[in-house]
Amino acid sequence: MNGFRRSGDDVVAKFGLEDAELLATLARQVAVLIADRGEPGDDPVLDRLLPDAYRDSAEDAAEFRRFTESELGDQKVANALAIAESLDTSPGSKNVTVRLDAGDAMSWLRALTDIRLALGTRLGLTDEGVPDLGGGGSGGGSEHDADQSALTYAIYSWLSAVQESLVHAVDR
Amino acid sequence: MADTLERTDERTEQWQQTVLERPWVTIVWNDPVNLVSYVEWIFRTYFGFDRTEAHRLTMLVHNEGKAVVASGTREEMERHVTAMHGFGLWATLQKDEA
Repeated sequence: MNGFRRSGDDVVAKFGLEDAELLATLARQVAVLIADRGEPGDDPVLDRLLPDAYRDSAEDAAEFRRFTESELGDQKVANALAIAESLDTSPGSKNVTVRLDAGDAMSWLRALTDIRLALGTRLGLTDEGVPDLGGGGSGGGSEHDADQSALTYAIYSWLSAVQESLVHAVDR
Repeated sequence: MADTLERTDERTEQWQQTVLERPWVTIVWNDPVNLVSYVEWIFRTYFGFDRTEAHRLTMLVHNEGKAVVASGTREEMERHVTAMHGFGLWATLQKDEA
């Protein structure tokens, strides 16, 4: 995966089979997470993907959510599924070439953001980094947790690079 | 005459509402996930800021933790906040504190 580059009016990227399958799986997982969501406050990932519009009034936030959340959630599910669909692999192929027009690229940018927000929230990511990856064993997590976090963070970083390349390709 | 006065009253009332009421603002908050390049791109394409202003606001979000990116009626700000949430940015609206 060398990232997205401009190709005429489109942007194009080639993904290795495993990378394509990983990203498609993550996209579908985020779509399911959003589609099957419960009440606000149940899951920090969903609270970040569908945040309160009002900080200082729970009443206003709930009222606003009643009118907007359903459509916003549907859009996010559709964007995530669009990513998964454009990564469909044909049997026997070693890689997947993704070609996006301006509209597809918009869906990809939004969905990549949502996937990264989901992973970043699960990791407890802050501006200073990931707590579980601090080393020294003071975080209280097991070695297994640290391994999991390291893997998740590696995937997160890869998706950041994919998105960065897409922003620059779209914004030539 | 009475008709004119009434209409003036109506206008005055509208004027008071728009001039004396504090406007609403859209605030974008810092988060550790969103890319600077992506946020700048949204500020330019959605709000129509030039590169310099989009960069200034993005750095304000990044360094100060938040930035006011729009002000106006409550309805307009609600549309902006929903749009920002669609992009995955963390945004809220409130009455202007100034």
